[in-house]
Amino acid sequence: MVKIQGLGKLQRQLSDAQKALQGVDGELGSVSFNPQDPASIEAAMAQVDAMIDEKLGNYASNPLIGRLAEQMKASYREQLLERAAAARLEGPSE
Amino acid sequence: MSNRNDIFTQINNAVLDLQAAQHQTFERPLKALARLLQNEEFTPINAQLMEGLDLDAFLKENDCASGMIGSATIDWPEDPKKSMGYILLLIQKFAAEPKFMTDFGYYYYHSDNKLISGIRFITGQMIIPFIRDYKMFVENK
Repeated sequence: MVKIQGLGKLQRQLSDAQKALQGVDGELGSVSFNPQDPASIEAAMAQVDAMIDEKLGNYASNPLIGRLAEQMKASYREQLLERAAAARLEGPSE
Repeated sequence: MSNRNDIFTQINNAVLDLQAAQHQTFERPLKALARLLQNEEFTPINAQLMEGLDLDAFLKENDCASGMIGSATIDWPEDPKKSMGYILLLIQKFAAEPKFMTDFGYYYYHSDNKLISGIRFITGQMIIPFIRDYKMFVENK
C-alpha cells in the first residue's frame, strides 16, 4: 500500500490561493500616468506592483500565490505599456 | 537650443521603445539611445561627466560573478556626476555589446528566469532616472 503524504499542506495552499484570488477579483485599483513620460509609466507600474503586493501580501509565503503575483505583475505591466503606446498614437486629447 | 530639444525628444522616444521592448527587439532602441547621447551637441558635457572614469576598473570593483545572482548591488560613486558618467559609459557598452547588458541585468537585477527582466530593470532603475538627471544637467549648463 502506497501512503501519500503532504496532501494536507497542498490543500491548505490551494485553500489560501482561492481566498487570495477572491481578494484580487474585480478592480485592483486605478493609476494615472503620462504616456509620453517613461518615468511616469515606470512609476505607474510600481504602483500596480504595490497594489498586487498589498492584496496578496498575507499569502506571500504560499508558493502558488508567489507565482500568481509575478504573473499578474507581468500581465498588468504589458497592459500598461500597451495603453501608453495607444495613448501616444491617439495624441493629446483636445 | 531647439536642436537640443529635438534630440531630447528622440532620446525620450528611444527610451519609450526600450521600456516596451522584448528580448528580440531591445537592441535597436538601445543603439539609437547610445547614438543620440553621443551627439556633438553633448560632447563637452559628456567629456566633463566621464573625465577620469575607468569603466573596466569600476566593473572589476563591482564584480559579483562569484556572488548570488540578482542579489549583488553596485557601489555607485557618491558624486552624482561620476555616477552619471559611469551610466553614460555603461549605455555605450550596452549598445556595443548587447549581450553584456543581458548579463549585467542577470547579475545585478535578476528577478526571474526571463532574459528581458534584467533589461527592463536596467531601463527602469538605471536608464530612465539617468536620462531625467542628464537632461536637467544639460539644461543647467
